[in-house]
Amino acid sequence: MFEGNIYGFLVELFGGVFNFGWRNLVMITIGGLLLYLAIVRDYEPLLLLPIGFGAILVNLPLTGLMGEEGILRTLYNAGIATELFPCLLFVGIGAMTDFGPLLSNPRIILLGGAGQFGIFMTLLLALALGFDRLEAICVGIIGACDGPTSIYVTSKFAPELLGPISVAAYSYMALVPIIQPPVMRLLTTRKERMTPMQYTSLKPVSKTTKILFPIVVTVVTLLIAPMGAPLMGMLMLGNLLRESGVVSRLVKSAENELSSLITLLLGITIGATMDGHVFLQWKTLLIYALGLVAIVGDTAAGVFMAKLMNLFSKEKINPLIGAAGISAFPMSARVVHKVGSEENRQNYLLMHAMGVNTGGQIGSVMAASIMLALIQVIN
Amino acid sequence: MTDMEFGLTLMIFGGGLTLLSLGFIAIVISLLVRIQSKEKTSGSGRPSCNADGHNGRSM
Repeated sequence: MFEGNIYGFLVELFGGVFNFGWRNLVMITIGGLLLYLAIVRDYEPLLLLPIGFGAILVNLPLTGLMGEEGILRTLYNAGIATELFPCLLFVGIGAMTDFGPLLSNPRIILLGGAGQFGIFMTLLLALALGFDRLEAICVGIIGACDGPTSIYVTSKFAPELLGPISVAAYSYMALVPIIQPPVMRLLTTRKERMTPMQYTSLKPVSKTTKILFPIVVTVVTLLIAPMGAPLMGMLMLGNLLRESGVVSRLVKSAENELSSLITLLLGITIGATMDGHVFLQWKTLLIYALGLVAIVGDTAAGVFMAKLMNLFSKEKINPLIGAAGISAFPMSARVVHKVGSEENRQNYLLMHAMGVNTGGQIGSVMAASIMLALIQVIN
Repeated sequence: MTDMEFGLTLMIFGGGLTLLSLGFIAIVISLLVRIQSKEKTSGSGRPSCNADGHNGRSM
């Protein structure tokens, strides 16, 4: 039956094995590493687990999952190419976020702005290293330490870098407890780290203020940077649902079902962009290195901004809370609290750092929105 | 415009505008909080603390 063509028959029958190359092996190992980090080390498991599995799936030869009619391509076209998934995820994030600590001490939102310095510093470095302009913006945005924002901007400007940039962003978010403390200690004296900030120094905030906050932020920010409407609009919609107190069903859905479903689909689709031919190139290594630089830069800028604010303020703040100006919420605030309490057990930095951390969330979306607006003008 | 000029322009205008916007938001929030706490204390004689007690309860 197969005389003379037995080899062709075997190749066709075991096509997966015959088409398996070194790139597949490396990428499946990387997928396995992400699964290990998620399952064993508990590093951002909600995202890294589906990303890791997606990376394994897409690097098995001849599966056709990212082919023209493949299921993962369909998901990609529906949710990433249209930027729908990251925007919907922002509704959930808004519904989960309590801006109360920020509202009770509004000036600390500036620390959330300083925490975006790494974006711009990394953008310059990426340009110097040969990335093109739009790619450099996407690499820089890793410094926002904000997964959905990174995905949104990258899917808009450099979709071919979506895999490495998303994985770098989420990996570094998970590594915040390792990356930030040495930088914080290096840039502050023991006396500064011991600066007391009591929980009771936070002022009470009325419900009306909490309801008005998302509306005011939406109007102000979108008047300045209308391009950020999908990000800021969805974030603040989620927060308004939460603070209004009248749509508890929607809040629960946004916090749980919507966020979980989108996280799953987003993760597996990002994993599916990690094809060996695209992922395994020198740019990926550079993106990882620049991502690290960005987060170190953010941390340093936040600490320096806090010190600067202390020069002009009667009520001193602990410079450590400046490090929470990145968007890795609430991980960064916990790290700040831990480092602060190691120096002074009476110090309660958690709520203050949470305020800065939520300011960092707004800051990262604001920085991304402004960059999107500026690109339209100057590119 | 060279790539580095492009990057510097983004850095100066992007960073500056981000800080300015956030500063503006901080001012608006401060005003909101101040107006709200004044209304609470002068309106009903009740303390300015809201019914929820301290904020950040669910963090």
